[in-house]
Amino acid sequence: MEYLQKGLIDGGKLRDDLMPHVRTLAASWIETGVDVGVVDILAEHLARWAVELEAPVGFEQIAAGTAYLDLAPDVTELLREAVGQQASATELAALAVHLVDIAEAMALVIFVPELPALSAKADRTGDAARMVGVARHLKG
Amino acid sequence: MGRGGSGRAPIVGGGEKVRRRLRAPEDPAAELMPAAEFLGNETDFAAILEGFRDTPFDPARRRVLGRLMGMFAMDYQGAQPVERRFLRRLLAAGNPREGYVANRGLHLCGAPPVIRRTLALGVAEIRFARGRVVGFLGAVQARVAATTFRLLGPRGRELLWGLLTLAGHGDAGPLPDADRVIERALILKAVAARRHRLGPWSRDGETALAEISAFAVGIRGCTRQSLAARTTLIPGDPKQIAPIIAGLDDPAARAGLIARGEIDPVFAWQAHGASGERATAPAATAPAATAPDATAPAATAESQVHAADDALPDLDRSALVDRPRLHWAFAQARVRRAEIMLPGEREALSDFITGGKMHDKKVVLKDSGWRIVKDKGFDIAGEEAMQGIRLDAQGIYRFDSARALGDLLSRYTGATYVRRMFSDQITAGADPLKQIVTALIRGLAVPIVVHELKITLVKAFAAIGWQGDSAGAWQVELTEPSMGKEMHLPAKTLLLPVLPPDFGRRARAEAYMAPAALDLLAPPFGIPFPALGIEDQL
Repeated sequence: MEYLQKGLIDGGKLRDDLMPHVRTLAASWIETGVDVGVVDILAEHLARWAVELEAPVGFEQIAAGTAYLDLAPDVTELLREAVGQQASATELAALAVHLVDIAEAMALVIFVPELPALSAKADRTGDAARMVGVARHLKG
Repeated sequence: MGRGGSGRAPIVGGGEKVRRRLRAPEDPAAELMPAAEFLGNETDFAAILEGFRDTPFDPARRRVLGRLMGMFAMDYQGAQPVERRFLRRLLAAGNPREGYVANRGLHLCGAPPVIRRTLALGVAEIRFARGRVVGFLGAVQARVAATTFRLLGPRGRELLWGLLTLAGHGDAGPLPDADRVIERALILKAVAARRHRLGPWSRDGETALAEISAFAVGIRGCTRQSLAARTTLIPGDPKQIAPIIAGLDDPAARAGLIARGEIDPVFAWQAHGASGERATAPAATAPAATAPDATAPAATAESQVHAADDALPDLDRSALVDRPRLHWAFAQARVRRAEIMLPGEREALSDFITGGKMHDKKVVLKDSGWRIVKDKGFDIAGEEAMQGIRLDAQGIYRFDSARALGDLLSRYTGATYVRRMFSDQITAGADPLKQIVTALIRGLAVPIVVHELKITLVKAFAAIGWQGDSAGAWQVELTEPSMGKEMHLPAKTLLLPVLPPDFGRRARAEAYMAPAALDLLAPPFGIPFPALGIEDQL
């Protein structure tokens, strides 16, 4: 997570070189069993926190405020690295967006391989055609 | 012609432009939708816009909003009376723009009409008359709530439907001072806030359902004012500030608590002491659906009509409703490898529900996989549902796979996904490559389904990046997530009759999942962050 030492913001926007890190982290978190659902809701919490935030927030405060999510060690480590000593509202918002990106990348790895099965059905064999015929007959 | 406009005849002809004031329309909704006037009666759009120049509804200033108004007009004019009443309620609320965006998104999600209307009104209605404009939930929360509801298991759906049905009721029946639409919206918001605990392999799903149930019972029959103040930690009502906020000096911790309260109404409700002011008066004895008494105040008649509109239909108990959750369970089992079940068990179960042929060895694996689903899974599906899904896949095939694909993909992403066939889009004169690259530019990946022509084999890829300045030079970056394989190719390759061999033998791109609807609102969660260049696009 060395990339976080430079911060997530560059020139007033999210750094544009984050996506490779996002994919690497997503793959790694899936390997270690991080729940994508928790990443998703953590991102929402931090995004809303950033909206309400008037003074900088420290890592310990974030850890205490998100303790109810029972974060995996990998996720806590990311928060620690990204927040550093303190984070402003903008930096917290950037972290939330970064987490959204990671959750999306994880979702792609989880769900895209399931798409073929999700749209699968039996071949239109003679058996299948006969079953359709029987069903129609029974329906009248 | 619909009744969306003022009902007057066109008075402008021959392209002649005139400046005139809009007359008061017969239909109050028309005041808020110049495009409805335009579509219904007017030949000169510019003349109509004069009446809205420099107002929040000036489409020249709000390009996307202008497009929304056009969609609204078409929605309104083509709608049944119940939908028109709903759209009028939506526009009369304090946060109509986000409410309408939520309604569009929920349309695309395919949410049941009553749930869609409930959630959209929950977004459009504001909690407090003064101060920040905040709905009872946000547009993105509404979409997440609808998707989470649809992906619940049979027991969760049944429980939730019962809670939604009883909303706004006291011991003796419906309470006229209660607001059952807002109650329902809050219950659904509580479901969305527990989405990470309601998955198919959740270990505390039962606890999450119990929390939702206790919350629904707790807020049942409360007044709207009470619901508004006590299901958030935003201090909108100075007389009802939660003790944990009032007594907290640390502004950062306070912001964190308010944020959590905005996600989870159950947390806020408990922080307020889990109690609220009850609407105590008994309901009118006449059933809501009967014609209103002519002597009764107009407001009562209107509320009776609304009560009839808000009645919940029967819950859809078809076996096919459980199929997306089964696939969700399989998808998670795949990435967690043998931790949940063996790949052979998962594949046998998958083959079973998709109507595949089952030889003896596969039946054994299927049975063993099914035992895991029953023992370790949380409310995934019943055995009868499994059989029903298999029969459907073998026969008539009524399963709406496009919607299920969209539900799963929308689960953790910032958009509603809809399936589009390459061939259909090209036939209709659309440009699928432009749609794909536009989505990539917005930061949303686009899953693409590829079909091998010779055999029934479907593969899924995802477009995750692009390069190139002009349409002819676009390069897309594709990944096959299950294999970790990545490739770069010219975008127009996707339209070839036969794709390169990397995609399989004689393969062609069949369909793609296009992100739609809520990308109108700035990600994430509809919250703009101007400091990061993430703007509200409306």
